Amino acid sequence: MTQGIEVRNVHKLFRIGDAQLHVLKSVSLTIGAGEFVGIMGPSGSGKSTLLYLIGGLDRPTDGQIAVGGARLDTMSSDDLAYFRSQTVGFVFQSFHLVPTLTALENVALPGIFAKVPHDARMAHATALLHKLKMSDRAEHRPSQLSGGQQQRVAIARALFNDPPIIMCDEPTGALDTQTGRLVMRMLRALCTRAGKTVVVVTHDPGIENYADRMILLRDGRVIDDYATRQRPALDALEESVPNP
Amino acid sequence: MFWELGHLATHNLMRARARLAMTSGGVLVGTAAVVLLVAMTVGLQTAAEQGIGQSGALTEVMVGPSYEYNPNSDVEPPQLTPAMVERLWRIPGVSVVVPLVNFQSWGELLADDYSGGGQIMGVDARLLPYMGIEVAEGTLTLERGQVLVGSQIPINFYDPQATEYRPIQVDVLNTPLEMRTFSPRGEERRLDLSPVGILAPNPNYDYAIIMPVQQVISLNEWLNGERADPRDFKYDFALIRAESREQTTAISDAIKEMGFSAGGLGDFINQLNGFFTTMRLVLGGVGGVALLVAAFGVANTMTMAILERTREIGLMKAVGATDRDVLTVFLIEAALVGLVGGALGVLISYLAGEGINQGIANLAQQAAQSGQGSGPMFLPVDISQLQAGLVIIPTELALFGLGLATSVGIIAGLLPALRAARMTTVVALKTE
Ligand SMILES: Nc1ncnc2c1ncn2[C@@H]1O[C@H](COP(=O)(O)OP(=O)(O)O)[C@@H](O)[C@H]1O
Ligand SMILES: [Mg+2]
Repeated sequence: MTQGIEVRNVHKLFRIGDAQLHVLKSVSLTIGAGEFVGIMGPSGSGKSTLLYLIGGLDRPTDGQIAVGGARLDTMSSDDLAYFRSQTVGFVFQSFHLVPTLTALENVALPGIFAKVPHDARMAHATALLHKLKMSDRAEHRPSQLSGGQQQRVAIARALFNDPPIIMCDEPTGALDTQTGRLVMRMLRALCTRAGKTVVVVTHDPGIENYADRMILLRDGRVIDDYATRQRPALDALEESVPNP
Repeated sequence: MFWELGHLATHNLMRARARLAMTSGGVLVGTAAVVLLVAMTVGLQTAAEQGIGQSGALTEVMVGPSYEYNPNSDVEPPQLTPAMVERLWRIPGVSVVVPLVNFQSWGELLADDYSGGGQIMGVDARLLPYMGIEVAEGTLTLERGQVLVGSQIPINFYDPQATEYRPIQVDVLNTPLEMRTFSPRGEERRLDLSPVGILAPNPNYDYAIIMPVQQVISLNEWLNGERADPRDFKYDFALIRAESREQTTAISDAIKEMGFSAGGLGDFINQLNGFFTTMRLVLGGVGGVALLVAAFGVANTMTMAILERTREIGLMKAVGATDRDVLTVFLIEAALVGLVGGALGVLISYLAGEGINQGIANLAQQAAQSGQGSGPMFLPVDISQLQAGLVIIPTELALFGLGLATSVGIIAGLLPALRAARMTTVVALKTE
């Protein structure tokens, strides 16, 4: 089944007291399965809002969103939860790890809601941490990890249910340049080697070195949508990147 | 799945240990209050029932003419005529009616040189087994000329020649015994008696001399100097045996309705039970208020916990948790707060109960040593009766305490948990 993303005339309004904020204004776009798409735009242009809508974390005020043929805008909230569990993996700027759980338990968290039995869950999480070269940090709590390490744990968590789509909201925003670059390489490898669809929201122009395609937002509208000049060669990627 | 969510919940609980301790502490106090107070009524009731003893007496109802009848009224109080006794038999729950006739004078007993006496009463020998009496010595039978004597009678003879009164014991079963009585006309009558049994102690019959009913009727005729008209015949009182103790109250009520006086231990105990039920409700209610306060504590803690962990709730939803999963996590958490508090509360109840019982045992001992009788008067029962202790915690009560505390946790946590479950994922994720 194709996991293409289709967005048709999507509007998103937020109500703040009596006022209404029109954040997305008739956005339409299509993202093909296996594409690596970067979404850029000024702060407040609606990038995150768009990402959360196509990730099933929120619903559009108007318009249609379909992922792999399934309509998110009309889905029941339980079906949306199942969609988030099976179809997308999220990576956030602030990592969003549970502070009381170890790195391993954080990676395994999606398995609880996907009803994976305990032993299988831990084995799979261990394997993922190993692929991300984080085995020696499995028992550490998030507070005992550097930003880059935390984001690797978060990526492992996003991969736990082997979803076809990875969505990232400013994944490098809290990291230094060097570490940020490593994370971008990992994401690229996930697209190239594992065939995942990757959607990355950022305002780091360096994204163009990794993405196949760029979508530019301004003031809630798509103002540009273009293929990047050159696809980065895989051999430019580090050996350490995962190959799930 | 449930266990996995429970695991998450315990993780969360352990994170805020201080708050858990305070909230559970509230539940602890509430549970301990409920359990201890109810346990106390159980102890008091057990003591009261033990003090009453004798299970046979519990199904008895004594019936007699009512004392409440106005003597100036024209209406005659109803009498225990044979027809009335018939009616008593037909009251639901009555298994046997034993009507009795009193000898209308005192019977003096003469044994050799000694004198004694008792209240002569007549009973139909066939109903003897239903009177709830036992013999300490001899046999429980009754034929013409035979008598059964109460436990006090053999030991209360005295020597009429002696200058000083001193009770003397007579072996009545093996001593020729004569009864002497006088009529109002001044005639003396003597009757040879052969006691066949001495009754075991029983407050109702300790001074009784029980004879076949026909013999007592003839004695009364002699006393009154005329033959009794069978149409005017009436019994003096009747002993009713109920099928069960629970039925004694209804039977007593029905008999009082008929215009007689009625009462018995069973009826008394039923009233006592009613009293203890009320006491249990009142004291349990006091503990309940403590639990209610604890419930607000739980609700507050859960609200705080959910506010603090809003981002985490968003994250759980982002990685696939349904609303129901989130609800479950927080309800388990609230239930655990209740359960932990409840378990500690029950434990403390056991310890405190042990201490209280020990203290009372010591008090009773001190009272016994100082010869002051029953000790402190603030208790409605003689503390020497509290062999099993003032605080008795049956297993059901302990389980009830645990269940109650857990339910309080769940109910108090319901609203906050629902709020957590319904949070919009994005809003929750973005919360600082
Ligand atoms: N839940 C919300 N409620 C109200 N306003 C919101 C909410 N989420 C986002 N916004 C507003 O929508 C606009 C776009 O936000 P966002 O999509 O996060 O922008 P970007 O990610 O491009 O910086 C901002 O003005 C923001 O304040
Ligand atoms: Mg943003």
